[in-house]
Amino acid sequence: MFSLTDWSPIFLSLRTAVFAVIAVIILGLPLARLLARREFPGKDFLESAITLPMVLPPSVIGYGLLMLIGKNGLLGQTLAGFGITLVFTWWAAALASTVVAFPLMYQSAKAAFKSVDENYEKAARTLGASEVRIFLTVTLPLAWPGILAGVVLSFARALGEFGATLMVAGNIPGQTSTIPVAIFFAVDAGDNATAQTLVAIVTGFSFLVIFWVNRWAKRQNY
Amino acid sequence: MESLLKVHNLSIKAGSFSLNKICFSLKANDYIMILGPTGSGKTILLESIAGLRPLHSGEIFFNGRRITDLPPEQRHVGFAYQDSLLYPFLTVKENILFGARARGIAVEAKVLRRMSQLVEIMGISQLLERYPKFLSGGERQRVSLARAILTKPPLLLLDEPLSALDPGTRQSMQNLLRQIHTTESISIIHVTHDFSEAIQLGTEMIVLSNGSIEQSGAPLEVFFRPVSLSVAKFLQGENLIKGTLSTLNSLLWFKPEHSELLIGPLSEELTPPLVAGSNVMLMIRSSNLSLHQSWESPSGCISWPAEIEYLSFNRTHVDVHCKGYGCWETSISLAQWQNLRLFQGDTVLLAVRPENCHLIVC
Repeated sequence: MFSLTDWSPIFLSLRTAVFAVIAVIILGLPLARLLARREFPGKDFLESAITLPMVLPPSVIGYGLLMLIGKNGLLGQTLAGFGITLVFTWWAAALASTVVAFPLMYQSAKAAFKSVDENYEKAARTLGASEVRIFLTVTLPLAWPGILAGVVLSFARALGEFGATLMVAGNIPGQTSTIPVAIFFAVDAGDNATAQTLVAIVTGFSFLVIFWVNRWAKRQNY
Repeated sequence: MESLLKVHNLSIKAGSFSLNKICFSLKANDYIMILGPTGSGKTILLESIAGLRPLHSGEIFFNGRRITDLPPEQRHVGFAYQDSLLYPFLTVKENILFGARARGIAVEAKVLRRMSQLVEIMGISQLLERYPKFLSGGERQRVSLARAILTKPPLLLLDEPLSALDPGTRQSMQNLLRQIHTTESISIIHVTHDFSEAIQLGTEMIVLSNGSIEQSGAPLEVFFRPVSLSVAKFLQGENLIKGTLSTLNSLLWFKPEHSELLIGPLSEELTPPLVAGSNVMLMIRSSNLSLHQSWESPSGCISWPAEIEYLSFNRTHVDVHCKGYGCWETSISLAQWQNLRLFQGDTVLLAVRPENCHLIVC
């Protein structure tokens, strides 16, 4: 009953999710650190905008991305001038995953940074550490459990992304057909064996990741 | 002597709280105790000296150099907190070396030698590979102290480092602080709300209240001669009696409220704000108030009769509460009590040397 002729959805999904996680770490951590302890007018507005992709229907995100990177989109037109097309490529799938994963990373990281006792950072300053050094050697390790939770959540979200991906990247085998997309089309085509195999793989893999993270977090309480 | 630290007109606003025009200076080898109730601004003052808080106005000089705008990492001032704030993900050794590592000197032989000496003095050499969560409160404070002074800062700031410790540990930490102060020849500013700690450790004392300096001076001077009622109450001044000043035969006397007795002549000078008729509080530390059964006043003393209201026994002494032209509290040793055979209702003679009668202007 389990059989898989094409393994590409698995590697595609992993590649997309890993890309998305790296992107949200690079973008999300500094932003979360910056906004965690700062108050300024318009902060609530900005935060609401950042969190929006978490609650919007995937089709809305997909439509928004099409308006941005589509052939006539704001960014799409400019890129077309350089001969670059993003829609219906792997990059579009990666972008869609990044957008939906970003709020999860941001929220977890912000909560983690907020929970760090500021006095630890003050102590580091009196010991002669620079701001960058404090962020890397004090704040990050103290916030690490929360950040890791954010990494796992955003990875899982990126791995499971379906709706927006379908709209901006389509279902091109070997290029944009990630596991969720492949499952949908396998079921649609009545190929239950493929669908079941992919479902089993993605469920087992997700379970293992969460199981390991929980175990790890348990050992990390100082 | 050139001062090591000079704080001039320092003012800070933090929400609704503000520190107002704080001025003081510290010489090398001073041990200044900053004393004050919770919320008096002690921690904010320390943090501003360390550079952790921007000043609203005023200046700070360190070794003759203006450091008002210098970031904390360039000030080289040690800081230890009430919560030891050890990094939980680092071992004791890595915690102690944190500052050296930040300055890029953690691998130097002389730094490692210095660390070995320090942990020996602190009695924590057996803990180097442990993580903070496996240490007791006292051990954590020792590690925190070692971390703060590893790179030999000339000034150490302590923010209530002993208040979370049990009495036994606190005593041994006090000894350790005194030892470090002399052997390391480091100057210390130590914030506390415990005046007995302040008197035992400090060479200087500053009493802070509501963001201003109420009084500063030698600890015993402040203890025996508080300038205001709030300082006297904070230092648990005994025998605070309300009354007025009067002059008789060009000498100064104290007249307790609701009584005709004149206590005196006092040795204080009649200079403003002390004038005849002014409302004052008389304060006599109970240790300066002696108790006698004979009716003859000890020579050079002011004395008056009083009736014993009640006695309370302690392990080493008896507190005697008397009433006579005011309520008085004194204590005598158990041996003395055995001799005198005092009981409730007995009339005794209270005596005090004029120089121990302290007047506080109300």
